[in-house]
Amino acid sequence: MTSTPAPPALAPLEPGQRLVMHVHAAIPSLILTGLGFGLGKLVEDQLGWPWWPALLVAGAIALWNAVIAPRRRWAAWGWALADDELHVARGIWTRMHTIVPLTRVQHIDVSQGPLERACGVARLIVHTAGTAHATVTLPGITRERAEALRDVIRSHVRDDPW
Amino acid sequence: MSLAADARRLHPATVVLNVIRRAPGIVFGVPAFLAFARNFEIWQALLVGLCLALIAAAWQCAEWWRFTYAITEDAVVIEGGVLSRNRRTIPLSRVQDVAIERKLLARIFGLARVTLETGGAGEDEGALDSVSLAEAHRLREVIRRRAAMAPAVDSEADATAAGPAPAIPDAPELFAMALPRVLVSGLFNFSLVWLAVIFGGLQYVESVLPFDIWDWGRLAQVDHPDALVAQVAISAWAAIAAMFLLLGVVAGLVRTVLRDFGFTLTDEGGRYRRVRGLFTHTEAVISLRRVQLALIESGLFRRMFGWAGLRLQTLGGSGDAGGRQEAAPFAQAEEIDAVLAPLDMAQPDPAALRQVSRGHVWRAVLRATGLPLAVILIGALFAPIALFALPLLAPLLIVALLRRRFHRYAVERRALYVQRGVLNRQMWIVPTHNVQAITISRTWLQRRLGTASVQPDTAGAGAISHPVISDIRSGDAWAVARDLRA
Repeated sequence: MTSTPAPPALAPLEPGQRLVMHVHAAIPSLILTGLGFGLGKLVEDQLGWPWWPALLVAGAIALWNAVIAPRRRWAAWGWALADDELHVARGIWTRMHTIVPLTRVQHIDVSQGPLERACGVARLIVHTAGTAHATVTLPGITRERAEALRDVIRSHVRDDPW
Repeated sequence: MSLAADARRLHPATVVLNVIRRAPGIVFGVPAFLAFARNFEIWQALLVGLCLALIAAAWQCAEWWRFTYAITEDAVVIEGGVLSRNRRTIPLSRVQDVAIERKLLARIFGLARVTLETGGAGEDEGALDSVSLAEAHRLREVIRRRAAMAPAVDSEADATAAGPAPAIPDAPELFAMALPRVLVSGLFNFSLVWLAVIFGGLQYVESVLPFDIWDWGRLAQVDHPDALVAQVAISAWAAIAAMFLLLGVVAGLVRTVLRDFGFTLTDEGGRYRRVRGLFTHTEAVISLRRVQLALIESGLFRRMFGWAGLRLQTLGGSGDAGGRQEAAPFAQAEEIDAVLAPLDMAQPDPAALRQVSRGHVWRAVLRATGLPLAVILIGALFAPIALFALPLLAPLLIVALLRRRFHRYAVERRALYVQRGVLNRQMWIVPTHNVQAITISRTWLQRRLGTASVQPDTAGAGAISHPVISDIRSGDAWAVARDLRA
């Protein structure tokens, strides 16, 4: 196996996944805005303070969470199939780069929720025998690519039984 | 790959089975439904109830319809989900066993639940719930034949199913503890757990004593009218402490003798057999094939006399004990070497171990003292006397500063060695072929310090501690990752 001490070049996720992430973040954001509005009304009722600052703060956080954060999170993801290993990188504050030797894979899921289907992306979930990082998820790749990756992993598993 | 022509569905009776299984949950919904029904005519309420039931039934049917499984040439493919679709591929070479489970309800319907066991960590790996008994047996036959599971594994499983493998009479003894050794080990077993028990006990003593033993401030004031009482209090306190200390030592001794009396580890060729216990005689078999890593642990005082404990992390299965098994609870270095040798493992050469980066000092200090320091400083804003608590941080700080000195690692001879711990020290020995995945993580601070942590993932752990290398230089982290895969 010839691997360099540096990480391989990582491919970004499909643009469709960004929409999935925005929508997923939108729900807590809406709840947060609602809570901010409720808190503002409560403060107005009880203390006679204006109702809008609480809404403004909650709304700003919600907006950031739904508009800016998913974009950054999306950009933090990356993956590569180098040699006979799957590399998956993610995380903004804590950058995680997981390397799964394909011969270590136990079984593979290709998964797709309704929203993901609408956005043309799928998730590849790789299970190993490990404990802390036993499940490595790669979201936001096309279904064709997920299936192709699955077949590559399968062929490795077949060639190298335990 | 499109689903093969031989894709099958679960037995249709599964729908009924699932409805019955979920019935207890419906009972909780009845009061809510009755409360709702009060506002309507009886027929309206019944209509709504009927609609809900129909929707639930339709959902169950849809789930049943969507769930298919197929055995292809080299894999089992399980597909399911109504809205969110999932297709799982389990390569046949990974299937270690096919289990057929029949609970009472399933038996009434003549059904069986088939689970495919792989080496994966999850419990719910490949479950077919439920198929007919005949189909279950057919599946087991087909999968076993195509997977061509090693006959050795199969016979071993059969043997353990009948009961634990019988002991081989004259297997060589690898490690044993005579009574004096067990007693010495008991002396070192006075642990923090017992200190906690003692302090718990003090809570009871307190209510008996005529003064508050926790009120140090009052006791220290010599010119206080209670000065005499205070002196009595201090000597009483010392006596109680001595008594509990003694009790703690005795308790540690008793506990150790009960557990480790007659400890013997024998090498039966391919597996270790461990026997121990005074009243409860326990026997455990550790299959060497299933050993994932070795962990040598020693406490501060133990280490001064050259004592350490060895645990082996194993994958469960076939009647073997999973988790971390004690292979030598109290041994000298040469004895540990003797136990490691058949596993093709060895303790590392201390000179070969490399120190982690300087950044580790910063992170260790921040982790150890950051939170208490913040608490003290915030407290000082309200009551400046809180600043006197600062010296309490000194021991934490000293330990944190020493962390880097004892956190070392090496990858050599196809094994990863990780040492860590200032007071309690751990040495991990992980054969590289047992590393399942490697994660290199960099927190915000680590990126500023130019360091990274390497987390090798191993099977069968489930415990809190893992052989993580914290804070090595980024380039070194990638080099370790490369060496682990080489």
